[in-house]
Amino acid sequence: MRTIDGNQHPRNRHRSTGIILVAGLFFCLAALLAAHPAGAGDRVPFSAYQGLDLARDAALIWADDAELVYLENDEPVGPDGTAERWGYLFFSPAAGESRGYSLRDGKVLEAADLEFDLNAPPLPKQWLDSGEILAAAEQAAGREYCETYRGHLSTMFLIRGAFHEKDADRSTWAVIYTSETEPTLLVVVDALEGKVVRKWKG
Amino acid sequence: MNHLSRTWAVLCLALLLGMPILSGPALADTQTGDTPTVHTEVERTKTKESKHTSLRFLRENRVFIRGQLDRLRLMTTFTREGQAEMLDDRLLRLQELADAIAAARDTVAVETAVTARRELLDSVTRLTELDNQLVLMETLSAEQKIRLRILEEDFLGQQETALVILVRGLPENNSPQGIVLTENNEVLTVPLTPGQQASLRQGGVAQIFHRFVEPRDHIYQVGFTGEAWAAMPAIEVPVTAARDRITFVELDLSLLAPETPTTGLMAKVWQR
Repeated sequence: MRTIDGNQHPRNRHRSTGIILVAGLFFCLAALLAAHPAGAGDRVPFSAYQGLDLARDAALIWADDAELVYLENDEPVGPDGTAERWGYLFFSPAAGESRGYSLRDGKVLEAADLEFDLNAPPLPKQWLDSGEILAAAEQAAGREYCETYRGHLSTMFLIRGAFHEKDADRSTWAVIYTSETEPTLLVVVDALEGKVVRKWKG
Repeated sequence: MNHLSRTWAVLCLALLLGMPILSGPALADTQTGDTPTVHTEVERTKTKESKHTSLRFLRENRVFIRGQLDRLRLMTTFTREGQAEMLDDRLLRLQELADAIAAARDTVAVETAVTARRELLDSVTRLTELDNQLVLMETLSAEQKIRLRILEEDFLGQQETALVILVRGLPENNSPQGIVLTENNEVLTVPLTPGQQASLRQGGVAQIFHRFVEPRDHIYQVGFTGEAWAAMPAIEVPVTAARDRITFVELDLSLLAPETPTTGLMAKVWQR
């Protein structure tokens, strides 16, 4: 409704302001929901070592000779080396079988037998945690790779023997970066000392 | 047309007449042979779809990783050290507790004998003696409780994740003959004897499962054996096994009926 001189009626002006405010609030709420999907906000990221105790407890119930042979992030790794979900693979020499445990929020989210033989040697009791390893990999090559080729960290996994060139008995973390334009970068870090022992693209 | 019909009729008659001759030896074999009939059926393995993909890189690159591992050789050395080991303090404490229990038992026995000899409480002095005896009994009882608490704390500290499934109650008529507990590919069949069935009907409780389990969410399929029960679809019972605790699941079957499988089973869960 307009007055004769063309100005808006004061009541209508208030109404319009109200509509704009409500719309603004709605958009803010929508933006917040998009950034934090329902349920995801409650999840607490944790480092690989923090979940080991629970995973081992579960595995020892499955087989009392179970040994950790491999672990990998099941959800994206953050800049501090934590992830919302990690996967731990155990092997029972007596049963000759492997079983994986996926952990989230301090609970075993899923446990399943591995459908193929990996034959990986057991990991040692002590190893450096994912945060320290990621920092070393970033400094060595990862950060530069990501900045230059718009890449990102895709996977971190821990295994013994497979990727150490000089000493096959050593356990290593492999930190893998991918980019759409460049071959994948693999940075291998010694799991006991935190030194980068190998880098290659492929 | 008539000629064709007649030909068909002759052929059919010939086949009918010839059938006993053709099938005679085979029939004789079936009736006299002792070889059991073996029926082999092939089914495709049902793979369980995972809701949460785990170890994705390993699965996608297993040939590469296994290729790296194939270049390794395991050298296993067994080393033992012959040094003396410290004895667990708890073992010594258990012996102390056992000694204390034995001493308390002796005391109780002596006091019981004294009480038995007392025929008449005829003086205040004897009442005082009796009072002293009661105080002594209370003290012994309190000490026993402390010993039990020590043992319980020790036990709870060692507890691993375990699951106990109990069954209570049975329908009055047409009860199931057994219970079938299934999780993934593991099937546990527990037959219920007539005595056990009668006991359950009168309010008894039976334990059908007690094992260490992984500390995670489990889904057990509870099925039954018996005439009308075998055809009844299994009932899903979700159970969350808390870490380092005993989880008890009590299944109350008293209202269960094959016609209403989804409404009759009541489950109660608690943890210690």
